[in-house]
Amino acid sequence: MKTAFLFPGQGSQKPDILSSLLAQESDAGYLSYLTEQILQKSISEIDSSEGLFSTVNVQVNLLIAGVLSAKQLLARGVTADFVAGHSVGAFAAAVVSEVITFQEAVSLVHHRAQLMEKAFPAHYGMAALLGFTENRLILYLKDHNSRHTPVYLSNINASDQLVVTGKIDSIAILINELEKAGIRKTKLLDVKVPSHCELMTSVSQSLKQQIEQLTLKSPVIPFASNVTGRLLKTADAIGKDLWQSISSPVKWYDATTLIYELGTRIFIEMEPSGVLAKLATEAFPEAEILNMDSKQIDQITVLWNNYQHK
Amino acid sequence: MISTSWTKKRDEKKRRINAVKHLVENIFIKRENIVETLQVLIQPGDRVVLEGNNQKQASFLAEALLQLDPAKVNKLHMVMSSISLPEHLDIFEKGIAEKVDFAYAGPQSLRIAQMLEDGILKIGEIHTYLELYGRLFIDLIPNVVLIAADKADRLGNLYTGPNTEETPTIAEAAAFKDGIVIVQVNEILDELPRVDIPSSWVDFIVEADQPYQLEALFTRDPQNITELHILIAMLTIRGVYEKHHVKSLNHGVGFNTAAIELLLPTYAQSLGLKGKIATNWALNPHPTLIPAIESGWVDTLYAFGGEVGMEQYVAARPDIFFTGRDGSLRSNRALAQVAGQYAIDMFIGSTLQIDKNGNSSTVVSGRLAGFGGAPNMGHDPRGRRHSSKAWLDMITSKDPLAHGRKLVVQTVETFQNGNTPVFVETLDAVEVAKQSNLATAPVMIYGDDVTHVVTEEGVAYIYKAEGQEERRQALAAIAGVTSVGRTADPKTTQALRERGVVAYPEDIGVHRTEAKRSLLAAKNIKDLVEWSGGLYNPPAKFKNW
Repeated sequence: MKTAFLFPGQGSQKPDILSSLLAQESDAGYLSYLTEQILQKSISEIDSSEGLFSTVNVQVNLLIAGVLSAKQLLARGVTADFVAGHSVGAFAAAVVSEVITFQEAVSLVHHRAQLMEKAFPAHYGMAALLGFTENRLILYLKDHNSRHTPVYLSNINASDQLVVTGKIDSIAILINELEKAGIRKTKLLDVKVPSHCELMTSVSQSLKQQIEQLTLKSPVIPFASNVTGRLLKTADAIGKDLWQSISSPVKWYDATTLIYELGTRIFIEMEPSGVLAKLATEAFPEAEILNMDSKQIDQITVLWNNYQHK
Repeated sequence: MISTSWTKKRDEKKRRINAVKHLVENIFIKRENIVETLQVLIQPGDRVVLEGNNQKQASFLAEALLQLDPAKVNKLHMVMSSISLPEHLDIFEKGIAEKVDFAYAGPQSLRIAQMLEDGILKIGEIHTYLELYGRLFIDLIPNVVLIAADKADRLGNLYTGPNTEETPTIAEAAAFKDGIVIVQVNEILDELPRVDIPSSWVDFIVEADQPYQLEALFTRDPQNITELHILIAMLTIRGVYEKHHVKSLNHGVGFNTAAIELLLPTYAQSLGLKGKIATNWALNPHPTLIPAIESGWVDTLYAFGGEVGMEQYVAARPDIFFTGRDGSLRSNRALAQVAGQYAIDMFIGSTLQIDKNGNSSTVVSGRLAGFGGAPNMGHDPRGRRHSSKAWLDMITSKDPLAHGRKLVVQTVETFQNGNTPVFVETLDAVEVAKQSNLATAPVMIYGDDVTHVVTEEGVAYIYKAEGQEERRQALAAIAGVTSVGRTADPKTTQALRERGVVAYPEDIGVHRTEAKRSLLAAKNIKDLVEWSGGLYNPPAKFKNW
């Protein structure tokens, strides 16, 4: 049975996750110091519910939570055959796969989030759509975009769970059209940035320059790509995925299906867990799904060891 | 005068076998020598069958194949009925193989589509099982076959037992055309329970470190059957089985058909249908059929393969199942497919998409799942000449040369998982054909082969529809609130009901409110074990008590 570590992205954040993760961590002081040096902010600030109103804080928070979760699992002998991170989660996955260092990841994510926040200050957003396949939605999108400000497909999270992004008023018109066409459910998300579409090309270019200055290392764990839904095994390919991702749709359904087909039967979602675990439960009923929780790490370790012998 | 050799393939086989003399003892390959031996027996460009079907896998040989040195063995042309294991595709990434002809790739359907797109492998054709087996004897004749058996004796006879499946077919294609037959076995014994494949067909045997991989694919837990499935099952029993006197049949593996199996001894019994319908089966040993068998509904059942956990039950019911002298099941996928194509009244299955003309497909965008056996059974074989009541019942004309038809029935809920409409304007298969550059769109069952479609709304007798427009109207009438369903015109629907082209529940005496789980002869796996008198032994993952 192979294991994949899944790293959640924006939308999964919860306050006080970092403080409980750091409480379990022997390198806590060093990691906080590193983070605070780069951000010029305290950990408690980016871990508070007020702090989490900021995209920058949320993204850095998710990066740290992802890396710390994986570190604690690895320290107890829970190993991964694959890593996959959703959107910003990919940076934590790249740290765990040892392609970039923790310090490099904090600077990259900080930079990425700042650029995203600045790029589109108002009137943009994202919406989750439930009940249409990608093929079906694309027909409606084409039609909509020929008459209105373009709306982009930005996440394929499951075969029938999609996210679109663009100007909020245009999204509202699209939602109206989709509801007429019998879509099951739609929901405007609390995200103000049009992520994962061509509107973010400049952010990609800026990140590209930053990443090209780093010396990336070969991954020690294969990395499932957001951009192509392929398995990436080289430093260059992963570096490229990290800068391209913000302006390309997240092919989460493909990325996780691929590692399932490659033999993954245990998916562990890093903290703050829930969203990706639920998607995996629905997509892979035969697989075992674990939610990382630093307070229950001993039980999780036992469960994982038991699954090995099934 | 130049002398022509007529024994080139035979000579080459001899040469290869002589070249591994030092690595083998008689016909037995030492486990530690398997990679080195395969490296000599398999040569670049060979056509190789690696046994993998949807249940049983030559998993040890698949792993050994992956360890070959691509500098020595490469450009293999693989022929596989099912691409199921990661190793089946890893050999392409490693450069050992370059082309594949297959029937089914469900468990690797995304990866194979990606590898095709990335130029890592080439696909010959995507087949149905019978076509692929057929081509093993025509234009895909193998150089080497790698197969799996349960046991071998010291002479090389093989016991394949309940999971005989397609092993004899693959062996035959090589053994009688100077191909090399290499077998992994779970154990080597002095005496076999019975001989399924004689030693003269076998060249080499290796004892694997672990038993071959085997999956329970045909077990459906009754716990997951919903009242919607039950309603559709009731409609199907009354509107199709009873109406047309369907006696011989094949069922797909979905919950819709599992519900039918569990309603035979209850609902169908109360309608007085015992002995009149569903007596002779071409079917894997579905655990959900146990209550019907125990209630005396089933006369005979011929199996494509075994089913994990059903071994003892089957062995104790030889009047129903085909068993060997040792008492255990003998399955044969090729013959069961022939039986399912030519010898039954009806095929009934489910699908993910049906278009407005009744074409159906389980293909979704970006995935290449292939076909398996459904299209073999899900079509009307026009070569059929023998008649049966159900077959003759499909005649709609007075032409003196009119012939019957096989019933091909699709049962679906109008929305899959309550979310995704099953009835669509255009099948995703059309787009997939373009993406993957396939010669034809991968349609599972063609609309002109389908005779009936059943949903929770009713039954469309599309074999009775006159012309394409009426066919579409009949489908729309049972397509619910999907976009196809909303094209239905109430007046036309009424006329179709009057002519018996469409039937709603009240037209055939089905009461929606009666569709309750209490009608199921077994409500969970434990009930099935009880029905079997403890003979059915479900795999651990189904034991939740």
